[in-house]
Amino acid sequence: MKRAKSTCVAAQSLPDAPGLILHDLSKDYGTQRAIETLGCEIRGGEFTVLLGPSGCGKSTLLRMIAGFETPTGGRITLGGRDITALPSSQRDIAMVFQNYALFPHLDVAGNITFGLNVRRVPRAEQRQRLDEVARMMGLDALLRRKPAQLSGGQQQRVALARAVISGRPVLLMDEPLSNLDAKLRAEMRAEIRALQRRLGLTLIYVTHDQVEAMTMADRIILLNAGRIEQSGTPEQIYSRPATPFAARFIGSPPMNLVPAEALGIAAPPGTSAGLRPEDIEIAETGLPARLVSHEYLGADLLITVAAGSARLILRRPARLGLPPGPELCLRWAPDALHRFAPQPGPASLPTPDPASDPASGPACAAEPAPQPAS
Amino acid sequence: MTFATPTSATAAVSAPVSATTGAWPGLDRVLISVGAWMLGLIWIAPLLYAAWTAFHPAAYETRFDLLAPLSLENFPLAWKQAPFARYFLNTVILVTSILSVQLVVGTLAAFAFARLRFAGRNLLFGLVLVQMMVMPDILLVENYRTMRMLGLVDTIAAIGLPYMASGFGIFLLRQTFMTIPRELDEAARLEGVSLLGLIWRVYVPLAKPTYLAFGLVSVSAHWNDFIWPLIVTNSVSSRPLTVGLSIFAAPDSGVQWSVINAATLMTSAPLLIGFLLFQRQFVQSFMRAGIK
Repeated sequence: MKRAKSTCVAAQSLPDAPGLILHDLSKDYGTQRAIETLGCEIRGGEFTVLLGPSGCGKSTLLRMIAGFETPTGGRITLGGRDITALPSSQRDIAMVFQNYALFPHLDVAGNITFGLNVRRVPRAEQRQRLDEVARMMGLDALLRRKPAQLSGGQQQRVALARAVISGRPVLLMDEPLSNLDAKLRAEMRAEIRALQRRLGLTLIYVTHDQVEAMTMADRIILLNAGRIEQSGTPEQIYSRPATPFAARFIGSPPMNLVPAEALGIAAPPGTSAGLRPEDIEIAETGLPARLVSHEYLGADLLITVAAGSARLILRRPARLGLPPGPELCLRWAPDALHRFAPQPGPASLPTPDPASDPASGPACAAEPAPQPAS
Repeated sequence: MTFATPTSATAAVSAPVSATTGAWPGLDRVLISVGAWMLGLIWIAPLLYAAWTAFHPAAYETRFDLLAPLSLENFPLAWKQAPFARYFLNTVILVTSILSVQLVVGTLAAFAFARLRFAGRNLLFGLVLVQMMVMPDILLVENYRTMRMLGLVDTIAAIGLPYMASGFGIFLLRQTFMTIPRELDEAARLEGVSLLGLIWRVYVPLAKPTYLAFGLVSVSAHWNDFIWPLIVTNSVSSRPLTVGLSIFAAPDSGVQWSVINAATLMTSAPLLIGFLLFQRQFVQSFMRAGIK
């Protein structure tokens, strides 16, 4: 059942944060195209992650939404209102920057209330909102400190508080955790996620870290070279990657992607086959392979094997240990196999080299791999 | 005993070695110290002489005697013989008005050169840099003609006007503004500050060390400036300290050295005291303004 509104925690909770729609947005820098014409919807109240390798255009996209960059073409609407030409301050958007962008000459209180001050909010109200936000973010004791006297995590909290106090329903974050150490990063991930839920913010979060994306996002928009590779929930992108790029980018170690013929799968030439490391089993029968190396991760063991000319990495619980001999057979469930049609353009996948094919192998059953159902 | 022998042997062997290699660095340091002291003494000698004569009766002007009677008579004497109060006032007005206009003009221009995009920006900035390379003395005649055209000859404004748009100040502030992270700028804009608000709330506070360093340079330069004020002023009401002092000290005025030196000390005292008081901050702000 739906809870009554009055039990919601934060006084500032936004009933329904508006969503964003990008219509045919593109961006050129001189003759260089940074963002190919793209369109997508960012739903209100959701945690959306723009994920991609560096230089994929994710920050450019965020900066266009914030109004720091002017799109070359297309429109941005926020809750049905066209904001493409509006200055940043009128877009109802708050932002947390990668380096936090705290004003070094102002103390924590001054930083948090900077915007309220600029917008001439009455002192008493400033005071009250500051108290509320400071308590929520655990900054009560630090209000008189200067940013230089704070730790990275505290600075991060101040930056968040400054964004939250504005009461704006849309929050943009540009790689906000990249300057923190691993432990703090995990803490802040949970904290940011909880904050977004609690306030019902529309949060757009830029990162190149797939772990951040997988753990925090309601929806991931995966970008590569200025275009959208795939968008969907983390589960969708992980279990049904739409492109080889999506398959390789998400998951650690990444999905094994080899020419279909190397796995003995009948497919049109140029088709590549993908298998997640955890979906490959060592079995009595199946595809013959040879052990190459292994890596011990504590809970798991990563085993690299050569099947014909293809290299595959498989993951199995470390307690099962290594297989007894160097020769082994591989199996996988039919629906674990992903097929990708040949990509136009230069083939980046290694082609099988029959000369190096080691014909030897244990007596695996005649039929190498179970054929997928489709 | 058995342990002591080998250690004393190695000490004996190593001693002459360290003596020969150690001699040169030692000599180096001595030479450097002597040189530094010499330069320092040469630099401060006139000041010491001025201080000596100013605090002693005229009889000891050229005679050094450690036991000579101290006296403060020279100061009121100097103060009465020329309108130094007026000169002080003129100089203070001059220096503060130059500095305040320089700061306003410099801040706005520097911000434009650092962060705004407009046609001809680089050309204009090039011209600002050219201003730094032109010796002000070259322009004396031209400046005088301009001041006469404006009807400003013999006013304090005429002394200050040619220096109010300081290329050096614009350059220094622009360099500082450019080091301010763009994210701060964007964060402030997101909150809705106006352009002037942005300069006032973000850029100016972050450039404080540069303002302090530039302020010091500007004040001391214009406090001590002599040639241009000498040319463009010719009355008590506009003359700054330097010109007033030189007229007071002219040989044909027949004033004693002890009185002249008392006047000299008086006129340079504010700067000296200021520097001694704020020495640490000045040096620090120079370091920060320069290195960043």
